[in-house]
Amino acid sequence: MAMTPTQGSTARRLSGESGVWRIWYRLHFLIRFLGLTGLLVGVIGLVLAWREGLLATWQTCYDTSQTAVDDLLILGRLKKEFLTVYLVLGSGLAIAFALLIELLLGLGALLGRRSALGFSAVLQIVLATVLLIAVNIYSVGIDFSGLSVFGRPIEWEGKPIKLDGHHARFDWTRDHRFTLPDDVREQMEKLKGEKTTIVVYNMDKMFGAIKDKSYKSDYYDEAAEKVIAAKVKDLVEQFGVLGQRFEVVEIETKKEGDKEKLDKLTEKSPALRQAIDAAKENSIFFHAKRVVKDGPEGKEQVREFVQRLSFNEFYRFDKTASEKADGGKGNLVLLAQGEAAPGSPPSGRGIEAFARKIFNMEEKRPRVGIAVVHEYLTTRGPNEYGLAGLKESLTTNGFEVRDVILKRPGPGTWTPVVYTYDENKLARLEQQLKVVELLIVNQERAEKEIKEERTHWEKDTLEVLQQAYARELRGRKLTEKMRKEALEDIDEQLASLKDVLEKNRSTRDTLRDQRDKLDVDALLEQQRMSDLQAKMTQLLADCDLLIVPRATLSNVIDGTRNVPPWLHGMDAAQMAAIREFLKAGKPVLALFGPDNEPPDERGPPAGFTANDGLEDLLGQLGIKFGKQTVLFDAESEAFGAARSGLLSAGADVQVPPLEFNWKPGEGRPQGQLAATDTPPHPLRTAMDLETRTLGKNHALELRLRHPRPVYYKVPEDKSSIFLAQLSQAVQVNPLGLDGFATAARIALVSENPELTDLYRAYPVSKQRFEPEFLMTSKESWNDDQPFPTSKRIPTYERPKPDDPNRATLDAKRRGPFPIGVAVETAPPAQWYDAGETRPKSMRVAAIGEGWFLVGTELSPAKERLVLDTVNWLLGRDDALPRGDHSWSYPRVDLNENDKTLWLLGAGLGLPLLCVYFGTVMWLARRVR
Amino acid sequence: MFADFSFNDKLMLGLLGAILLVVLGVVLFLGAGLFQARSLLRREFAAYFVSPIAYVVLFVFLCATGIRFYITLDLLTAKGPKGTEWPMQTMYAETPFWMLFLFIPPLLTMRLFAEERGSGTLEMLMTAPLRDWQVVLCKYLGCLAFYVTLWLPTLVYLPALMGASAPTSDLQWRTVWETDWINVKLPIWPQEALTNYSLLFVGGLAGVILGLILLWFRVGTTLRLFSLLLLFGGAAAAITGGVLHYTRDTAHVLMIPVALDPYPVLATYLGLFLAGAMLLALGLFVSSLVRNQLLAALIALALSLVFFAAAFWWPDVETGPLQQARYFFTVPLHFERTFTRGLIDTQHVVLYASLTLFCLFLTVRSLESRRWQ
Repeated sequence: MAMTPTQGSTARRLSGESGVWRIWYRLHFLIRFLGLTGLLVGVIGLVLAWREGLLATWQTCYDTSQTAVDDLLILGRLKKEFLTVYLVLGSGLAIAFALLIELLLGLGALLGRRSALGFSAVLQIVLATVLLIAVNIYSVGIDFSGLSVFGRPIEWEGKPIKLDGHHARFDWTRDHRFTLPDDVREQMEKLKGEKTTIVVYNMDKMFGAIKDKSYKSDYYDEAAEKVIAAKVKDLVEQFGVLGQRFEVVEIETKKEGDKEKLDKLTEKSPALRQAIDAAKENSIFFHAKRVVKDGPEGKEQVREFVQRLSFNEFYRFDKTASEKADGGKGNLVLLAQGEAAPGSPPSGRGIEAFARKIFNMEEKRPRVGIAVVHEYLTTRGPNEYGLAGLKESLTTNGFEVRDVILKRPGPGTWTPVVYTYDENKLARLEQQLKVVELLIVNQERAEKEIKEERTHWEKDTLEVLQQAYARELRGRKLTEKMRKEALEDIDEQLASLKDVLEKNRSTRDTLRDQRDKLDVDALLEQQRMSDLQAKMTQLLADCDLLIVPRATLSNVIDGTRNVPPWLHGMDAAQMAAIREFLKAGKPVLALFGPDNEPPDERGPPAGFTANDGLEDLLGQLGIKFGKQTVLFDAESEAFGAARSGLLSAGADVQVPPLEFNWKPGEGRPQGQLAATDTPPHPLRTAMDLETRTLGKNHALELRLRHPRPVYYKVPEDKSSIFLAQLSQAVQVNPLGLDGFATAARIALVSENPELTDLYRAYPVSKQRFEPEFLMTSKESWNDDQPFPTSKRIPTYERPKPDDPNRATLDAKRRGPFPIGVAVETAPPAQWYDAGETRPKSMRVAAIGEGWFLVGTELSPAKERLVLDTVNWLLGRDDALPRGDHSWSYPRVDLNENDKTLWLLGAGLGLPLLCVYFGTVMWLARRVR
Repeated sequence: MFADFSFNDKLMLGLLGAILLVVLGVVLFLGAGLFQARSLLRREFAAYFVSPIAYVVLFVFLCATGIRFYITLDLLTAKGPKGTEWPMQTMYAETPFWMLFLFIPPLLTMRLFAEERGSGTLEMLMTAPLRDWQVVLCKYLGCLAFYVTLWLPTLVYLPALMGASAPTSDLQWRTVWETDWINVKLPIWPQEALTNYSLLFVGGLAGVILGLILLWFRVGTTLRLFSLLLLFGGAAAAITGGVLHYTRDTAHVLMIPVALDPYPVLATYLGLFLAGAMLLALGLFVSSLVRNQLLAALIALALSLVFFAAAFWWPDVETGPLQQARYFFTVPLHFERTFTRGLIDTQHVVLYASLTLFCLFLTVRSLESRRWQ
């Protein structure tokens, strides 16, 4: 019978076999002991090396090891600081030696006994192992791109080793929650291989600036933050399956060590850092470095691209709905954002909003032009008049801002001009530079003279100095002590002059830097342009949107900051440029305050115009500004207080907030009925969501004082003909036909093909939504004389029956009043000459108040209003908040009794049942 | 029928057919082998229930799942912004659950061969008229059957976790015999529910029940074979008919309305079965190498850690090759990201299945080595 190796060696050992074997057994034990000890020491060495930072990178490991080995072998030095390295390397050698011996012994055993069977088994095992590894690599794939060993990338023939996996994911969920929409999949396929870093930045601010003031974070916010972060990861994973390379980094500002993580992440990505630092609320940043050909002379260079998506733009947290959910028990309600591609069903999972950022990594920042009549009213103006807050909000949210200044104040009148702030800044910098350079030249000359004087005092003899300064000495004899004092005095002068000179040189450098940052050539070219229309057209051509703020009435009681409406009037050439801008189909946001003036005002002075025609131009697109100012009931009391004669009495009034929930057609005078069948404007829906999602105690309110009504009115030239024919055809009173159902119009046209052309030209038919999006409270009225005087306090008075304005949009009445209108319409045909391209549609919005964007910081509600409006005007409907797809935690409807029964029965009953069966079985086995 | 097919399509179809034939052949071969060794299979399965270990493991396991059930149900009925989107994730994908689960496969497998070796009965077993692979497969399937038994009681939690309502049916009931004490009703099968699919479904279920009843009794080989055919054929018919009946027919034989998505439950239990199969195969292999049960359990536990350890490490960056490797090996992560959320990723299935087969192969080789050493 053959003995096994163990049996054999044991037998030999027991039989006291020869000393050679005994020595070998001991030697073998020693080798094994050496290997095991090496393993132990190696582990300790690795821990120490990790603590000393020697394992930070492969390169560090390699360099340190090489230096240590060189020191030991070449120089024969055993350095103390390399003790750890010696430990690791030594133990590695010991382990390798022991393993080698074991391998040789194993091979010997294999080849020496039943080798055919043994070899066959080993071969089978090896083959099975290879098969196991191959199958799994084929299934998962491998990707070594970006990895390096000892500083060298892992490559094969110069290319990173990469093998695509062959695995599939089956989405078994009922509503296919992990399946991307087809259009998103198709676009993702095109981006295959591009690397994007996604930073989930949680700064514990769910609602931006609000929290710093009145909003306190609670467990609802924390829960929302966690869920949204998890949903980001889910989406990234889904996108990653399609081959896009993502790196997801989660940063929580309050978490220990995350600041260092952020520093490390942004070490070589300054643009990403800048964007993160500017974030006001929890956001997701998309960062990519791509090679673009925009270097000098069209050369390729690596550029950073950063896109930001706030948590609320991905999944909007509806705190109000969360608090009310499940019959008041509460849940977490998140509203999926983003709009699906035309023709595709919405995912309802925020995929579109997320994907848009990835697909548009290289998207140009839209430029918003702001046309104002004075530098004070620009985004760099002072707090009382400037729009610094607007600029900050726009730039933080991915827009560029350009101020266009339209007038230059002069003696007696204001001259029409067109220039940008930068252009003016260049002129100002040039002037400042001239002065500073002149100062520097003079001071350098003075320094040279003083130095010469010093040399003189230092080197000349006392006699020579006595003669040279005889007048100053007035007969006194010059001594060495006096020479020393004079030298000290000169040194002090020199030091002082040197300080001033350094300061001036530094100022000069700063000014030069500022100038160099400007596009000097372009600005100089602009300065040289004298044709106002051409210059303004050129400036506006770079803008994607134009905002025209016209702040007028600020406070009718104390009159502070009231600006006469005629001050904003534009020159004919400027108007022509704006018309060109509109003709190109570009959007305009008009923020026009009321044009009512106090009764003692005598109208515009010479050089100014009461009506520059911009309102008429917008009127041709359907926007009709009311002639009165909207006053609120809350102000009546203030008017009375103001009459008491105290200086500031009644000046501060809190007017009611704007409404976003109103019945269809509300806010129009009798006889001017509006459409009742069209859905609310997306801006209204968006603002409704923006203002109510903060929870019951923190409704976001938007209060505008002294607005003017703004209506949508079908332009006369087209509607009148169509309406006449329409009313004839359906035999209805043309009054109120604005509200005639779109479906009815379509039906009418289908029955009367001759109306097709008219129908197509009829702009109302193209209004997919109710144009009004801002509405005042009902507690208001309109007045064309809103200024309280000693003789009259503005109050609501019913119009007389013979009032010519009766049943018109300018009729005096009680609120509510629409004060914001946004329309999408085709520009009027009469704007275009034959052969000119007429855009199919354009978007224009108007708000009847001009002061609300003024200040260094915008309130959250105002910021949201302006951002939503700007996004809608630019056609970025997907950036508007929407509430049609909500997510919340699934709930099981169990009362407390049922729940307890389940917990006791299933949670506790099942283990007890096991104990019961176990005991029965135990007892049964004891039965003999 | 195949006229529109290209040459490549035909080639692929031929290849697929050949693979199916091979698979069928292997299954039949294994089935026949198992049938031959059915006594051993029965003994292996029954052995768990005659020793206290089954009840201890069941008790501890059900206590742990009971705690998870309590936590999950609490979240599903919570007030305020608390909750769980994926109840199965809260049940079976959290670290505390896996900390316990880690010990179960080694506990179940430690005795399989180590006990036989330790007590010297392995030699007797090896002299039985069975091939090595039959011994290994019987022991493995016995163990796997107990593992499945371990999970069966947890199905009790599902109605509560899914928010199930009382079952409804499109069948109408007609009283055929009524006394003061007894009321016998028979279903009237409405025309719209009387479809091929519903008949296949109900017939399959009847086959399974009949097969199980027949298996209970000691019967001859022919009848035994017939009962197995009824059991497996009935199960296949019930699954196929059920899926078709519930996806295509308008009227249904039986409906249990649930508030939550039931498909993640299916995916989770499939994942648990596959992961368990892999860990049991690993434990079986270790058990075949040593003679001490405790040592077998410890080594199996240490080897299983490869598939668990990375779950307790939360890296800063969750992407990159290292993280991909971590994700590939770590079973709890598979459950957290896929199975418990109703996703089936074939890379996990391939890993579990390939490792199971590999470990079973190694176990057979390990047993075989006793013959030539």
